[in-house]
Amino acid sequence: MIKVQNLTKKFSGHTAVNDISFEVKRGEIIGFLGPNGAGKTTTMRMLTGFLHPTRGSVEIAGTDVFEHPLEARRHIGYMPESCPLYLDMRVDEYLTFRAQIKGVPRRALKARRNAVKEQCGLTDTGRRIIGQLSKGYKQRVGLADSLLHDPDLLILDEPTAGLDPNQIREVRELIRQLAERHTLLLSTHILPEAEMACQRIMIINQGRLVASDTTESLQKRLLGDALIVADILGSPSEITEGLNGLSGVDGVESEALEEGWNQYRIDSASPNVRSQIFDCAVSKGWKLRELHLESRSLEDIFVAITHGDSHTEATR
Amino acid sequence: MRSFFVLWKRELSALFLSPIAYVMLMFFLLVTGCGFYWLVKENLELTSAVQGLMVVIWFCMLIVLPILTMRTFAEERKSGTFETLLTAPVHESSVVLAKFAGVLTFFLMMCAPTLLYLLIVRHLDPEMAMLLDPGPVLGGYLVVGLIASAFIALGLLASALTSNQIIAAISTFSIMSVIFFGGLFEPHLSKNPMVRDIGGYLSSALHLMEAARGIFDTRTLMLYLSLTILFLFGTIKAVEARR
Repeated sequence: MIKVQNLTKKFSGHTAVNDISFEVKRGEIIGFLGPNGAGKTTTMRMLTGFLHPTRGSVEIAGTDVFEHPLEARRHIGYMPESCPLYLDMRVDEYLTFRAQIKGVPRRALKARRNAVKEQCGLTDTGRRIIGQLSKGYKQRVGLADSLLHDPDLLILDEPTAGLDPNQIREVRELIRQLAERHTLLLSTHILPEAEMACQRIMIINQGRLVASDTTESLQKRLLGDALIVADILGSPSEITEGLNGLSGVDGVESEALEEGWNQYRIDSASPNVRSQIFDCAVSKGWKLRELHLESRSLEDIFVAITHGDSHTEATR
Repeated sequence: MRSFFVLWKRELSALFLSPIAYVMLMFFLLVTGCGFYWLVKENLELTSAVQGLMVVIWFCMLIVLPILTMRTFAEERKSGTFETLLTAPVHESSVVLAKFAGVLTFFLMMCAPTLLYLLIVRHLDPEMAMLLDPGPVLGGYLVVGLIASAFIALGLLASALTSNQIIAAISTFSIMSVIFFGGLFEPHLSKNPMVRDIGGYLSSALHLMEAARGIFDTRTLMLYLSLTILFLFGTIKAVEARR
């Protein structure tokens, strides 16, 4: 669906996107992650043909975006970052206008408009002036617009930016529904969002693609080891020694809790070491009240990858 | 072609939705109305009053056109709708031409009521109106349209080059005023005859007065048509150069 090769964009001396290549298959849902100023928006603008790259090529559905821009754009539904709309128009007027310039046939226009309005929960807002709508509703109008010509590929740049938690939930729900029928590329810096919705994550940092994989295999690859948490009653030094003696345990950190309880964070190559910890506690007569595997989130992956690059924003 | 008409309609309705366009309409009708009243009162011949009216319209264009054109691209750039517009499957040139046609249509609609002035004169003083030949009037309005297209195209170019509406308006206004005043004060422009000749050739006021006297000059036609094409071409290039 998308084929990007050696994409590079330089803005007067500053390289915003540096030699990115990736492919997206039909039906995939891709989360595009990165800190602010990493080059997400620039990459998306190049995918839609709004910006021309300094080097490299982009193919959408087999069409080169820069050689046949109009043909390629017919396949793309794009919602830019701040979701810009004509604030002086009514919702219906705006959607009709957008459908017309996107070449929706005259006969199908009204049906199409009503379909996207229903999809995005805008059925009662047709007569409202866009400028008077709340941010969440504006976002819906933007989303409805990107769906009008029933594109194969949806590119959404930070679709939940600036919304309140309820609105975020609604937009997420909407995205989940859309994912059933479209190829989806969405950028975000809100990690749970990507974790929930996306099959594959691409992390971009300082204009470079630093990781591209499924959430699970990223976890495995980057964090590898399992982290096990156990609450045990007893003398910390003895217990630490005992735990360290187990095979498969790479390291133990302890933290004092109330009334003699200690929490031990155990680094291990495999999660299976839990049963050994239990056996060990039983044989030595320790009291064990909690034993669980800490699931590591995308946030940890993100921090692991982009750590120490907080100056990216300043150089923008 | 369909997208051109859709965009043209959108441009025209955007003008009618903005309060500034109504302020401009009022300003235009007030100045041309008062100007024409005064010209008819002072002149015995209607032909010279019509000539004068053309110059008054040209003076109004100096204010009206920069203000009508300043928002075309600058506003879209600033609000970000430029991005949604140009990622839709429409060609840059149809966007530029539609905006041009939209503003030109609005301006011509603005000019239309001035034709009523002539009908009013005919109603008040049929004898005076009898002496007026329709040819020069038609020629005058044709040249008004030509001048307007050249300077609307200039305004679009200025608007496409910046995201600041004020800068766009002031630069259009400056270039138009050089031509306006250069033509008006042509005899005092310089002692150098060449400078005065160039000033005379470029003077829109002189072109209008000649056209309203019944002289049809193809040089005028060519000048404004080529200026329009040049500026529109520049605008298309400026829109493409966002990359």
